[in-house]
Amino acid sequence: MDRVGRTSVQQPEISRNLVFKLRKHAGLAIESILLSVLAILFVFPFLWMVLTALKSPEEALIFPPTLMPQTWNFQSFAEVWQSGPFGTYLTNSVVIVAAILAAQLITAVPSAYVFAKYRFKGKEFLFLLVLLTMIIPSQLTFVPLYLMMSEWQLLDSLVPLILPFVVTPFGIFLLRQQILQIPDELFEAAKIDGAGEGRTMYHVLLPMIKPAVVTVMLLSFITHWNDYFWPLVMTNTMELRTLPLGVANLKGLEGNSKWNVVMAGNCILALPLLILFMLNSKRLKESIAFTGVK
Amino acid sequence: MKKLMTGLCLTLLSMTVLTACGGGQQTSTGSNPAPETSTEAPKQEKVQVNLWHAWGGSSQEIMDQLIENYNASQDQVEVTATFQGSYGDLSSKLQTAIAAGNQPEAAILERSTIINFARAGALEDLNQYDVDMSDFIPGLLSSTTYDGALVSIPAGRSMPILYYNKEHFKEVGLDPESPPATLEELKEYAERLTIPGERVGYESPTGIWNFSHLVMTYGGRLVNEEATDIGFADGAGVQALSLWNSMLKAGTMKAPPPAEADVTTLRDFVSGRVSMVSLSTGGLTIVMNNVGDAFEFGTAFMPSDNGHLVVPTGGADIAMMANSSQDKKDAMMDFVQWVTSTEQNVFISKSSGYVPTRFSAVESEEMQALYLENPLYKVAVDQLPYANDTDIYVNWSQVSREITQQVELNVLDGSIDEETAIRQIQEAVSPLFNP
Repeated sequence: MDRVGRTSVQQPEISRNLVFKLRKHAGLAIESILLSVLAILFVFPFLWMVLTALKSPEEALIFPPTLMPQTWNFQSFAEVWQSGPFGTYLTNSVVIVAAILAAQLITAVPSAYVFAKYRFKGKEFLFLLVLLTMIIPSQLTFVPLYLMMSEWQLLDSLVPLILPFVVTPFGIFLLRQQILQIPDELFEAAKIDGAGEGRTMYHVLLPMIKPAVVTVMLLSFITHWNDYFWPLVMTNTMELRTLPLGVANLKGLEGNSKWNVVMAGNCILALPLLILFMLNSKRLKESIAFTGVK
Repeated sequence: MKKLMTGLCLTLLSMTVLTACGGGQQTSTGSNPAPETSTEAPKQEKVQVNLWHAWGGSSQEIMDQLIENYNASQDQVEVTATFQGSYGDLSSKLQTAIAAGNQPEAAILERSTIINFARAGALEDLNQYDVDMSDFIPGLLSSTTYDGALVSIPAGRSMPILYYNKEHFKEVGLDPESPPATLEELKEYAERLTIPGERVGYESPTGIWNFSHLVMTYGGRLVNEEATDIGFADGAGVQALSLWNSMLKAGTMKAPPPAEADVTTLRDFVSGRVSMVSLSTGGLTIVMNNVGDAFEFGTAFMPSDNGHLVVPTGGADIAMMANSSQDKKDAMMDFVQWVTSTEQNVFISKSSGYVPTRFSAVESEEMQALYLENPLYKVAVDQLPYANDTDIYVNWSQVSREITQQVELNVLDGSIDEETAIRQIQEAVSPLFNP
């Protein structure tokens, strides 16, 4: 009875195992296929940009379009570089974004810390004010800001490209949410050990919210690196302009654009972003997984 | 701690600003060119004036050339030209700058945006200066006057023309030297040229430009004479939409996606997928470069309605800002006169594909020689007497947005019929005309 029972049970067990394994593999296969399709969807525009940049102006226009350039044309990059002071644009972009990021880091971490862990009268109201600035569209503020900068005679410098962005309400909000999750005991322990607020922030707080900080910085980098309208409105000389303006300058009138050159300009513009993303993709994923903020 | 932070912040800022200012390289469009050290008049310095424009890409090269030539041609005025993005960007930026009093001395503005600046009193009345407009082609002048004042002078202007593939004409037994003259013929030819699944007879962007060609050719206007309503509600609008719809339904016309209309049309034509297209004169050089020896093509007038033809224009005029000192205005005026002169008009037209804006430019030896050598260019010039613009209205950008939207719903989407489309346009724009 025992034996019979065993064999009769074992048989379906094996097949069940098999089905389970198969299912697992099939699931994995479907998952990887779906992910590959998604990856291609996301990678293709970038690939298209690079390949178009390497085509001749005529080939960039033909239909049906070619995927691979028939003749590899590296001239477009040289043409971009010669179209204007691109070295200056690049330096300006780097300087402006570096300054903005540094300033945002310096302002966002302490403010988020205070909003998360300090108790004082009117805190909620002040935080509401910070959040409010996020819902005012920039189209509404650029004229008064321009007038302000004009009055302060700052227009022909890089200051108006940096000053309005030294504080990031979104960064403060995101970091505050992160800091809220850290138990108070940790900070109390640090205090008992004799650490001042500065040291607590630098040695205790910062390592714990690093992924969130990286996310904030990266998002801010993308925004300001790609910003077109603000630098356009604020500057009048080529010496103060940034990469996106240089790229916009490559487009001709009435459909008369050399698309390979425009795409080469976009390659130069997008490259630093891609590199930064690749270097920080792990931290980015961590912070999104932890906060649930997308 | 707080002090340290602010200190750090300020140092960082000042450091970055300083390095950036030091690193800037001088270019041809630099803001502070070396002062003139003339031996005869040591005290005299060139008057510095600024010009804003939207000429990017290959047009930027033409602009740079113009500025360089002008600055080298005399020692009184130094013009600095600055690219300010698209015509739309330029317009927004100029509005802001005028509010702050930082405006340039002149700007090259898209023709339909000029009236807004004129109404705000931001533009100088050029009648005060010694300007003779009698040499300019009348059809290009509707954007240049406001309330009796001369507010702008045509700089670079274009028109749509018909491009057609001569090989396709021969293939189906049409005479390659007689392109369709009327809209009826266009319809008929398109039918004969279409090979289902392979090529389409006619392609036209369905934006406001081509719509206005149809409306005006059918006897209407975009905005009526009194500027109180649209000018195509009584038939011309329905006729225009019906023509497109009947051709689209028959499969003899292709309407490109609105966002990339010009480039799609151009690409389809140069790759032989459509036989006839209506495109800007400004695209002629790029079409020639891309077609190469692949096939022979011709240019022709836009089709008429049994002989009645009105063609819209595009492009930009140069306008001077009212709010500058008189010596700057005088200096800028010297450049405006120079850049709109016959000689420079010929230069701009030859290098860009823009139409000449002066009779004397059309008749100049240089242009005549060009037309003899390449008759394709001549079509646009011969079409100039048919040019007219009926879209000069202060709220035009909003009105045109409403029109374009309804036209798209009707033509591309097919979700509403012609009468409904016109009625909805009228309903949507009436508050814009009677604010």
